[in-house]
Amino acid sequence: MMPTKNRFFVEAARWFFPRLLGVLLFLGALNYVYVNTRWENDVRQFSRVRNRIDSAFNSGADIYLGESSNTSFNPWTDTLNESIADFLQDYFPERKIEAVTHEGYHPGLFKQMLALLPTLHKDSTRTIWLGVNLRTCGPSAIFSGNEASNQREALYYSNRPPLLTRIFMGLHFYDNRGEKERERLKFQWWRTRELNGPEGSKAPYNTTLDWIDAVSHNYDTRLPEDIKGMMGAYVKEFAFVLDEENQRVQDLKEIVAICKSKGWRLVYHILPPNRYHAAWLFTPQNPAVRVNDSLIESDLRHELPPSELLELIDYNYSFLRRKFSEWGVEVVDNYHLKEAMVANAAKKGSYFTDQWYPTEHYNSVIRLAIAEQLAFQELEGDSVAWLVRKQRVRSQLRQNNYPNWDIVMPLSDPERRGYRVRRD
Amino acid sequence: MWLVYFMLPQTVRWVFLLIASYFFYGFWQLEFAALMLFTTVVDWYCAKRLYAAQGLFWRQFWMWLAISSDLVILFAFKYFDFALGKSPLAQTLYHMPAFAWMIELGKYVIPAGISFYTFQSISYVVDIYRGDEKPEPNVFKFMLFVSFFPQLVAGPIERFGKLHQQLFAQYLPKLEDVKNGGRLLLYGLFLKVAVADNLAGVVDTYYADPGSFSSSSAWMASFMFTFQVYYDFFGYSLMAQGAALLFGIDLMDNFNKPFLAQSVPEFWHRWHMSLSTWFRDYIYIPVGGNKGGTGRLIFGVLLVFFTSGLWHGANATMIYFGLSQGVLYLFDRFVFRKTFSGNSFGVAFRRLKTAFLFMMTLVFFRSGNVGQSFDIFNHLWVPRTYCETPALNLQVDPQVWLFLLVGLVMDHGVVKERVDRWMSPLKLGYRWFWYLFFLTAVLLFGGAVNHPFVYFQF
Repeated sequence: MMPTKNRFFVEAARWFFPRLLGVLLFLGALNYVYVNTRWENDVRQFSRVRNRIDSAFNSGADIYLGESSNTSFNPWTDTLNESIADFLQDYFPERKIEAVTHEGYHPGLFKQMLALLPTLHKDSTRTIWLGVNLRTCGPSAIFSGNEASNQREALYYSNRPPLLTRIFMGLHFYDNRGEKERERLKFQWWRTRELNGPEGSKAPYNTTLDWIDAVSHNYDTRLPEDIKGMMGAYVKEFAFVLDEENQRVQDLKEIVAICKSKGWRLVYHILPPNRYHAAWLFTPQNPAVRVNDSLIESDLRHELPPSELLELIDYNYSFLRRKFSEWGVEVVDNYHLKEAMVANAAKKGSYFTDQWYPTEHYNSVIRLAIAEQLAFQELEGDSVAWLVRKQRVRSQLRQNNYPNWDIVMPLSDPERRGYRVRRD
Repeated sequence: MWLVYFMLPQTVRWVFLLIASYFFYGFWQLEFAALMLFTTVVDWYCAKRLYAAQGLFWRQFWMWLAISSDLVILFAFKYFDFALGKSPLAQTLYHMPAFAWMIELGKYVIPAGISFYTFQSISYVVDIYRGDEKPEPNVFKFMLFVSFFPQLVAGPIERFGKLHQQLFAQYLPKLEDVKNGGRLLLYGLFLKVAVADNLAGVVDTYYADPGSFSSSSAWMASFMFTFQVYYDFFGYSLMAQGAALLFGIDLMDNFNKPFLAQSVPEFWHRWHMSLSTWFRDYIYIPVGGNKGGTGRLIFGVLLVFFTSGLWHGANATMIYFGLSQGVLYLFDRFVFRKTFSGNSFGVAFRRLKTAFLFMMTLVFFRSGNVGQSFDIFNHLWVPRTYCETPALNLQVDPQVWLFLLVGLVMDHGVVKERVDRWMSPLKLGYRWFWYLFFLTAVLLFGGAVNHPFVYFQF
């Protein structure tokens, strides 16, 4: 006679499997119903770019992947609202260039998007332009509070059955760590990661947290709070040291591998940070400090904000550039947009849209300059062809309500903003 | 896991369950498992010493040592930031590596279920002290009692006598238990994912910017939040019961149709019953209970509700929530006791009144701070007279109403006891209609808002 336990398993299996089959059939039918009723609506509601991905990817066009800097529009100085990708398209009217960009996007999401991208016919070529900023590799971006919603959206970058995507979303089968958990991880990073690591990276403090504390407590107490706030923001966004283990570096590496495996050409460019403001804030030439010249001469000199942050930013840029070269990827140097950045400095940083937080949101001067650099690379350094196209693009712009680039944004001008409080 | 469990010999199944429970908890955050282990071992050791001790002093010494140790841990990880987060002490500790991780955890991520397993462990020590239970000689078996995974992170808070005996009893798997466990899991999932999570989307929209919404939206959000909390926690409790039943363990019911309560005292006999009875047995009765005169009773009730508020969260709003419920409890007990009793109109009125008062006090529960609570009360009771932009109105999808209605009718009307027992005798067609309805609701209409179980944070 069968032992009781075995009898139970046999009985359970007899009961279970027919029902399982029934449920699987039901799920198949439910998937059909879902695709034909709610799927489109859910895609529109929960995925900001899924439809864009489908149209762009299936059209065989070249793809520009990026974040908000692509479309950042400066309401103060811009009357042109073309994106970087639009300008690039102007340079190459004979090709079709589609942009898939959105605020807060990062290589981790691009990686998943690219995995969806169908491989073209062998004779065709496809170029992927990838625009990434440095901050995206830092803890503030990696552990951003928006990341859970990004990851939820990433569920839609998949070819799995739609019902399964809906189930994953409803049951939160993705990296759904909440804002507080991410905040903790960010602080943990700031507290534990050494800033004085490899050669070339030099910081005045051991950790980002020490530096943030120093900005709050040790820096010259006569510095206005808004300047301190801005300094703190720069430290939080840029005081980190890139290495191989960095999550975003890993993502970028995977992107390179995907592009190689599918035979696409990958062009990488790093979006320039607002070095003007960083330099102004973190050097003794800071007017807020300069007005206290007598204080600088005193024993408070050592409390002046250190300028090593700029060196750290440069180190991280060089690291990424070096890595891409190692991986055999073309890199466009948009970090040193000399002409545009000199103009930006002359206008006291007003070519950057956000004046009180370090972002890579540019007005059309810099967006156009970035597109020009990308075009130059695309034309393989053929200066004549490039100048001809540049001339044509610029002439088109004139017909399109040319912006008044002479306006200086009031918020950007340190001489005109609250910095003067110290002088009074 | 379930299959492996039953394939193992009866004598070692509990070891497998213990490993699984610690893996489940530690997988999320290893430090949390270490913390639970510390609490468990200290309580087990103190209980053992307390049982062997001679004389009242030593017995009390070991009991209070265990309780103090539990409360210190609880304070450090749950209340430190609330009480001392901005103090120089916190700043100093944060710059010491040995304490920094603890402060970060307490500030941002309270160890899941710390209040639940701490209370469960304390009840064991007190039961030993009172002579109601004998200590468990095997520390690993006691560890399983504290960490049993279905009820670890959000209860029900079980008593040693009931759970321990089931965990180690001879048990032959029964198909009926598996079916009932599955039913509880499915219905619990429906309540959590299709009802509570969808309500959470509506409530979160309102609370993200209450000032932009109309008064009617404020009422709608308050109404919805009442049921969000209920179905979130009730759904979890059913899933915990279902998961435990798959292993042959019958956990206690945590809710019993709370919105049929005719008074606040009755409400608390029906809502989160495992916690209410814990407070009754380990706080209310020891401070005098009903037998110490009116003064003692008032003190006991307010102490219980103050503690209960604080237990729900390290925030002033939770203290307001607890105390307001305490005051209403006393009001119902002494003033409103017999009003409208004895006829159906009276019963309906008293039920509505109790639910309404609960809904009002939940404003404290949901608000981020006390100031926001009073702003919400203002929105509720004072119509907006001037605003630069027209007030917004909350939009609620029809299916959300449908699921809420189904939930309410099911557990406050149709289902007389537990849902699995109600379903069991139904005809095959009816039963499968409900299975597929719940399944469709969960799979196609699950709330998109990522909303962890409300009670996990406690």
